[in-house]
Amino acid sequence: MAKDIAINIVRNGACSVVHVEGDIDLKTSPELRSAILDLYENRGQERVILDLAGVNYIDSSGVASLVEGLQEAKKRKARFILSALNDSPRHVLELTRLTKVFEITKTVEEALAL
Amino acid sequence: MELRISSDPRWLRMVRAMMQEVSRQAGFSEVERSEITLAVDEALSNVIKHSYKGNPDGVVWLSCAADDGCLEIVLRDEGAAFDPKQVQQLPPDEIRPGGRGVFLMREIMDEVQYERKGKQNLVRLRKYIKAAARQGHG
Repeated sequence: MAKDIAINIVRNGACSVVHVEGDIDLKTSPELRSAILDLYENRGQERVILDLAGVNYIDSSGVASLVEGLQEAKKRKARFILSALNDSPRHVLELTRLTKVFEITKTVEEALAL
Repeated sequence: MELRISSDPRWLRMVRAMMQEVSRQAGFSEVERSEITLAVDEALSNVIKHSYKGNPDGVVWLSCAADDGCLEIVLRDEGAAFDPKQVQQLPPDEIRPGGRGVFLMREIMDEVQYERKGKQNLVRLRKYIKAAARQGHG
């Protein structure tokens, strides 16, 4: 059976780029949530960049996972950056009035340069 | 159109594809189609999470009807009574993880109604096609 979501993590020191491909919904968001929280809780990452170029759909459970990632980052004085958002996920963040809450960059490169 | 599915999250993706097509045929814009799809996905997710408490073997009926400028989607299930007031609903600016599903449904759709009829929960979502869009459609 085809995998519903692909999560590929590239770590470089205390910075990780999480490449996500697929829809983030009730079925797939727990896997993403675990992957993000693990980077902060168990791997001491200071900056996590979520590359969402391969994501065309996110629901409220996905948004909840992103908010949890942000909360965990803040708790540890680390950074959590969303990159390369497509129109549909960006619109969901707008509907939930969270675009100003997250640090968002157009590209992963931009996030790496911060 | 009526669909009968199990309360398994694996059906969410198929229902989203179906809602894109149903709302396209009803004459909604691309942005509206994405929004309607999201609202129905949230309603179905709530049935899975709250009515059937994650049990994938429950039954969900989903029906869609487009009539006189209105798309109506009805979801029915036979799980535990669902009271939307018991589901956490965040004020929009509150930064906490959950509780945005019902908010999104109400933000997107023109009408969201919940009923308990006998053993069934029923959620009815309605979206009206804007007059300008109707003139340009078909």
